[in-house]
Amino acid sequence: MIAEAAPAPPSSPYAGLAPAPGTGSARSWWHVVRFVARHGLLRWVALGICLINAGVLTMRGAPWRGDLTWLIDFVPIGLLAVGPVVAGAAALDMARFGEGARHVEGMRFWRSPAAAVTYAYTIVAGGAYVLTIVVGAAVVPPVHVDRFAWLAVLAQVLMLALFTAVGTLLGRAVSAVLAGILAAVAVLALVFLTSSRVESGVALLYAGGSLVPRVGRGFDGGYLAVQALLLAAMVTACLVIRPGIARAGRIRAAECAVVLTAGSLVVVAGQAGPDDRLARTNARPTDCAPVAGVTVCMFPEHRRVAGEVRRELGVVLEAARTHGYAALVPARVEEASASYSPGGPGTAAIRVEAELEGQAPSDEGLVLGLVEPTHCTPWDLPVAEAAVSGAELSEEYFADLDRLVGTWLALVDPDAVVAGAGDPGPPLLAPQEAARVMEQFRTCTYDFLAGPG
Amino acid sequence: MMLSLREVEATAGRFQLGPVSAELGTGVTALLGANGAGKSTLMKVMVGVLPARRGSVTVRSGASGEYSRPGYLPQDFDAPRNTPVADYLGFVGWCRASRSRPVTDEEIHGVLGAVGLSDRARSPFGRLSGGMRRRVGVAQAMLGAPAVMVLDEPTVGLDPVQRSDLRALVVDLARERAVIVSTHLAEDVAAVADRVLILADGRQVFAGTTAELAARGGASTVSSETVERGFLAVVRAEGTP
Repeated sequence: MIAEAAPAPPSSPYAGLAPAPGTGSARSWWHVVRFVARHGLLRWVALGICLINAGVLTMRGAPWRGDLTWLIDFVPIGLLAVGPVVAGAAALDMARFGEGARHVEGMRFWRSPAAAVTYAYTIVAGGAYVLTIVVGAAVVPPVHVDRFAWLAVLAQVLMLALFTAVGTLLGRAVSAVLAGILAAVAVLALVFLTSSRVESGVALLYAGGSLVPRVGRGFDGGYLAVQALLLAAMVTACLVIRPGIARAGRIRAAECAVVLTAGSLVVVAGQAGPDDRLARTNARPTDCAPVAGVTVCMFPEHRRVAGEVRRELGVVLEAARTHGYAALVPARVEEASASYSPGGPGTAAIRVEAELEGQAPSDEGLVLGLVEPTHCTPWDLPVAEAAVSGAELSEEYFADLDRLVGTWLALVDPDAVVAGAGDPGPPLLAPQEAARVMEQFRTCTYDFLAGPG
Repeated sequence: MMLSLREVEATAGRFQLGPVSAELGTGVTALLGANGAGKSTLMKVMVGVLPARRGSVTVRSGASGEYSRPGYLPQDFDAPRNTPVADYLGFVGWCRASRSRPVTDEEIHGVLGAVGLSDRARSPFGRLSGGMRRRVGVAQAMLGAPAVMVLDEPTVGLDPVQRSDLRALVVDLARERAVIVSTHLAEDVAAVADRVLILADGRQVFAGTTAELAARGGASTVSSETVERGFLAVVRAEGTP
């Protein structure tokens, strides 16, 4: 027997190896997650994800606050940095952990060293990713939780799983350092190629990454489900590919089928899948309060800037009343969104966007929103249809719009209109003329189009 | 327990292995050959790390003849330097385990005890001596109680006492399973092997019992000297030094 054995040795050295049902804890997947987290680069990767996401979340004054859908779509701006970090580290860990365990790769692919690294990264790195979203949501608790928000987050976590799986694939094929570099470059290329919205079908890594408010839009469950399925299939394909490892013919055939199916799914869904990741909700603003005698309704997601906007809007509305332009003042003001365009007799619109980034509400932006007739037909025309018909907004319309806006701004601040480099600006409209144009805009009776040709 | 090789041929770079045919049952089979004869290549084929170009490798265990993945000590076994030994064995054990045959903490400590490393369970792999690392490699090959174990030069780097202990362990393991051991040392063969498979330039040149090999050298008893004479007689008869 070997002399160094500390405990009293059994009669046979192999006696201790017999299965001992009911005694001791079996090595579970949780053990390997802990193993990879403790002995690999995963802890640093998780920290890196938190730092990158924290940097992303504080960009542009954290405009997503209060809007969970936008928050979920804002965080992936960092995927361009997160992806290569995750893939490179996973490749290095795979190469290190797999160097003495290559012979167990040939077993079930879901219980291989590559699978262990993928599970660990998906859980820990994905957990760090989800944590930043949860912290972001806690900063300003969202008033509305999209019913498919979980699916959108799941798809993003599966993207991390795909980055990891690509890393483990290269970590099994080449040396550690080379694998790390190649994996980072490969994932960077993958993000560049497949993270943009496509005209039709599902883009594999399109996760929003948006600087535009999401109010008025919700997640499309069908799109996200297909995307999650594609990502899961691609992760499986990466784990199944084991170059140079012998398997039984039927197993190899099944694995080839998995890889081909995953590839086909990506191609088919990229052409024929659901088109839009976001669906129009047509939700109307519900946070209503009187401002200078006018009911002003805003989306509850923008509650944190509503006070400032209403205060400045009150100045604009009061200026019109005070100077005899009461006809410009609508009975009701509603916030517009990507899917809701308020308008019609007695109702005007405002748009809230720059204010979410911490900028003070601008009089020009508010006035433009109040007068611009975006609820009328020309704004509903699809771009392609307008191009075919040759119809476009007339110069007269733009001139009248300029005069109307200029007039109203002059009422608020007479110095503002003539401030432009000797340019006196458009001539101001008299109260009756302003009322006439405004009425035509509100009722969509203005001749907006220049006509074909 | 049985590992069957049928007309196995494989390619590793420019090296051609085979054909090799043998039925390796319970007991110790020594794989002998000069450097570059193809021992490690054949072992990789046995455990599936290298695909066979032709022929088949079959592993069966128990009366049911069900498939069992061999335990394997690679020639270049290595592990992450800063990882404690027991943790790494747990990682490999998870890969080898199944729902019906889990690898437990007791089993990990059992294999460490069997190779004399119980007191090194928490030591980082990088702080072990070459001989200890080799024994960790043997320990990981024992996880899951495989029906067939393939050990590529398990005694390399071990001192005489450790080598003797490891031989005893191999003999004990081989009571219930097929153990295939590659070695350059005739004394290892004489001490533990029931059968011998000799390769020369990738070709199988001998397959028989240790006593039959000794007889090729003109001896009727098995000892390190007679095994060595038998080995030389076989390879010289094949025209290989």
